[in-house]
Amino acid sequence: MRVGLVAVVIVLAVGVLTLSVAGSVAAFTDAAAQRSGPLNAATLAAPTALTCTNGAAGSGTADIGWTPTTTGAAHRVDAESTPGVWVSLGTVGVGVRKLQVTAAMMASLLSLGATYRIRVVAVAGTAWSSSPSATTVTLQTISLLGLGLALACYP
Amino acid sequence: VSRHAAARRTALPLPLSVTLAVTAAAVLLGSITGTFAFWSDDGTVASGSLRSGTLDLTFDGNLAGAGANGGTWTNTAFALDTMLPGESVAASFVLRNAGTAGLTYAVSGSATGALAPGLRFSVYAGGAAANAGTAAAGNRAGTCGGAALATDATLGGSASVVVASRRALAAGASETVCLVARLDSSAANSLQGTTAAATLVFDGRQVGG
Repeated sequence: MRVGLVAVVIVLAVGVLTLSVAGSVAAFTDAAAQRSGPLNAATLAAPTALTCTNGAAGSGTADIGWTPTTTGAAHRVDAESTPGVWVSLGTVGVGVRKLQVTAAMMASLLSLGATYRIRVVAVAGTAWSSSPSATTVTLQTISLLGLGLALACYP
Repeated sequence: VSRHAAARRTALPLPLSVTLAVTAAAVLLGSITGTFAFWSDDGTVASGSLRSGTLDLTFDGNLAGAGANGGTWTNTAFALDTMLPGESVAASFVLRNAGTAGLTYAVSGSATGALAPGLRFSVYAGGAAANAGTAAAGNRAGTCGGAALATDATLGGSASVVVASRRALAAGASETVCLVARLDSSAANSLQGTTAAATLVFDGRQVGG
């Protein structure tokens, strides 16, 4: 019985000694770090210099144009249905600088003689957008013989 | 009787003198024997050259030498300006063990700057980087060949594990490592105009260490 106990103690002692020796072994290392260059996000600026140009004679359309200050962004054109409430008329892809607005695009808004403010917003990805353009242009609904309601730049 | 007694008295010292003589001779002989030389041979074993091994991770040859251990190299190709959601950049480099001992490495990383939460980092081994698209079109895309070691990792201010499974790199061996940084497609609008920089640490350890 006593011999067995001594044997256990010896085995434990050897084990602890082995562990302590193993734990003290140094390992050579080289932690080489690599730093990226700057990763910068763009800032979407509001389109400026909005223009409204009547389409071809008798077409009852109007072209809304703008000057982008941010590359790589698509643009959304909004019409103000009621004060402070803006409805999207459509979005154009990157590199496109104008949108031809038709009466059909404003079908839910049109009433004869009404005027509507138009603005443009830059958009990117699923969440990014610019502030609305600082300047707006105005469209007026008109009656065009044979075409019913149509649009014209106002004034 | 007195003559016999006298004879016995004169005869007694003789054995003593003999004993003394023998003893003296023995001592003399002993001392003479003590001066004898012993033949001998001392053998010396000299070690060969004992030199420690080295671990030396280099990036495209940068950070070479023991003096650069633990150093930092800025990969100027791993950068992108005016990033839009969904855009990415890739950069590859040759990771080499220029040391004399085999090693294994893992990768950890951190990132600073307000843009960091919107960035996703991927690491590939064995393939080169390719970048396409233009800033004007907002469709720049970086891609890597090879095997993905980590995909879309988010890095914060504190170092976190990017590649946990250690990869072996023998002495003198190298492999192409490719990195991708991507601005998440759903990055918050508030990240516009912000910046970030990432640091990836390739932690090399001796084989078996």
